[in-house]
Amino acid sequence: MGLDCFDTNALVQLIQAIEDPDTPHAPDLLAYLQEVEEGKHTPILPVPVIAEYLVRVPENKWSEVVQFFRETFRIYELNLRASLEAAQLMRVKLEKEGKLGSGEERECVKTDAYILGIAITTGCDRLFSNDGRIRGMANGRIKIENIPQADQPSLL
Amino acid sequence: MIDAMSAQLRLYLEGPDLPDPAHLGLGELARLLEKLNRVITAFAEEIEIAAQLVEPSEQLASLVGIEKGSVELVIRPAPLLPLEERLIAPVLQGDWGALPPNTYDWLYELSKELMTKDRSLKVALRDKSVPVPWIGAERPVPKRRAALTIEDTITLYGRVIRLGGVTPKVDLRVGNEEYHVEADSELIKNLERQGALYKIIGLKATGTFRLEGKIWKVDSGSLRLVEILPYTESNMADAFRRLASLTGEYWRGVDVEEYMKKIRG
Repeated sequence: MGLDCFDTNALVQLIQAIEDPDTPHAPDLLAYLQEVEEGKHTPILPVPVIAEYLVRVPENKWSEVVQFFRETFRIYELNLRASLEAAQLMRVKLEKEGKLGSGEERECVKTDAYILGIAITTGCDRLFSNDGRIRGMANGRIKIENIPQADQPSLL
Repeated sequence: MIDAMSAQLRLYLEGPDLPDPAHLGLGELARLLEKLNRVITAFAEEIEIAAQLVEPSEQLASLVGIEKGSVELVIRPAPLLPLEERLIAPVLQGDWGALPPNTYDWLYELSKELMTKDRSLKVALRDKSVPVPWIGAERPVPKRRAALTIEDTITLYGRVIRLGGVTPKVDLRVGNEEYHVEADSELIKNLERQGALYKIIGLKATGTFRLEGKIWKVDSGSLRLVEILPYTESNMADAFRRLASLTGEYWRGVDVEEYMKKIRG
């Protein structure tokens, strides 16, 4: 049973599917959820995803929601190794684009690189993300899938 | 080659100054064997085979023959020692990261010694009719670059398999790996009182991590507990449903792709 890392889009889409089974991709998402229920997958959340998720949650609920996340989800922080991994991925990306040291464009190591760094150093089997930059940076280090789907495809 | 029946490794010492064994002095041969022994011993220790030798008198490797022509050393390694797969093959493939660090360092020393007289150690492989250069002048071992080593934190979620010990520790099984995290004895007692043994917990620890190739490895014995996390193992599908119940309203009708473009640029 491998670890599945959720990017923010995948987490939001899953929550939306639970709230409303008529949302796009809901059958696939709910089929994945069923497999989680059966113990086939272990979802994990990087802390930067929690940060992005909380942007739309009122601040007066943050304490309750953060505590809920800490008690219920496997959460991984951005530690030094994940940061170094992110730096390496970013470096390779800039080298490929010929931008390293060019001064042409302002680049910074962004949230997506950090999420990828966390997913890789945590030993996740895959990262659910539709972020094109993540897919471009991953370099085969980890499998990227757009949204969580069941191993057994939905019949709907 | 490593002959499965007799489990022997044949090494050939060759060099421009070695037309025959008579040109290799005893002292030099002794130094060479000493370094080769260091390589094999370090290898056995680092892959944790040394402790598994069944008989107390069982040797890691013995010299069972020296033959004429190019100096041919016939070594019989202990049956458990995977010399061809994990010591010889990585060198032939240039996969230096696959070599355990101390083994690598001793291999480098042996290679350096050989290179002072332009010599090489060749090895007979199963699938090759002619011995191939293993280390030395024809295949120098580069000096090992010090692996990036850092102090860092780690978050672990796993099953508690042991509590306590002479040095109080929490032993956690995470997947196929075990982590031994040193902790305060009072904290260990608390965990025992809470019935944490064999339960899945989360914890944060600090430790020393070394980058070997692309993999970070933790130095065994370096992990120190920072905190036990408030995590309780539960059905994750329920966790997502509860999260939806707690926060779903704030995401109703939101176009996720647009939202992600907005916050990430």
